[in-house]
Amino acid sequence: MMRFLRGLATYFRNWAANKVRVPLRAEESVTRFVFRTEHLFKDGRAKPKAFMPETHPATGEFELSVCRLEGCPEQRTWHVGKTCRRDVALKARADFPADVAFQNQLHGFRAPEPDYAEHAILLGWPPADGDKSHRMSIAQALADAARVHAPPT
Amino acid sequence: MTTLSAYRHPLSERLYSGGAGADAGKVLKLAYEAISNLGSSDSYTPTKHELFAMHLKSLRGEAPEPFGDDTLLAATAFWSVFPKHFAVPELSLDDDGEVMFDWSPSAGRMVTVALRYDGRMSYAARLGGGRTRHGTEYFNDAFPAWLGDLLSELGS
Repeated sequence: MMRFLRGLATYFRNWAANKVRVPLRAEESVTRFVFRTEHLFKDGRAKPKAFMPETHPATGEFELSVCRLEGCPEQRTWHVGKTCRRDVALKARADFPADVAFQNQLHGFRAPEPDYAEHAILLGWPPADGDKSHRMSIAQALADAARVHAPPT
Repeated sequence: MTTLSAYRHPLSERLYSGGAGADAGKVLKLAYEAISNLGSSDSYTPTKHELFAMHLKSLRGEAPEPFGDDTLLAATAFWSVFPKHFAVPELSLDDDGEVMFDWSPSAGRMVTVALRYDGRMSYAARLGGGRTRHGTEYFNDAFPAWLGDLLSELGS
């Protein structure tokens, strides 16, 4: 119930903030925070699973949360990664050019959150009642383009 | 588990115990080695154990993703017919409870299969040189030829 209410609150916050949605630029890079070791190959590269989108609880639309790297110093990026989810520990981050997402028919928007102004979302994924393999193919493209970094100790 | 792997040891032991003379011994040794390669090996058994461990973790509520009994059955059935000459995949669970098998020998080359409880297999592949494929098939207790083709092309 709490999860649903939090999702709903985020949805309305985004709705208000995104009345004038600021799109991501093709030239910028973003990073996907990885919280599970199972989402990394044993050699350290990112698995497609790390880029599979999540269903938005209110809209039912798939979206992928990322962090914008433009103007975000290294230390700040790691801080955001370590604090944006309290329930799990950060395992890695996977940086990739936003343009790879655009080449795969996704579009990205800034979606600032409290204490997380760099937050952005990638939308335009094939819908849940559509072809899952298409979503997997896009996730593979993102995984393939990503450079994985381990958090500083 | 296939009947072949279930009876591997007894059959192999019987083969190894027979024969008289040096040539017969060599033939039996070759037969034993051939059969050994078909059965479960050290690198394959952990994958089966990993599936059960993932299921247990989900049952205990230690994993956020659901991993139902039917999915475990489908995954172990798939694994039991998986040809052992292909590379061992890496496993993970998708949010919807499907088991994901990943093969990626190097950057830019990967095959991902998501197996659902009812045998639906969603797959995506990047085979190098900009060649990509994706689609949906169903697992029907035999190792799918299309997956064998993809893994062969991947060089897995």
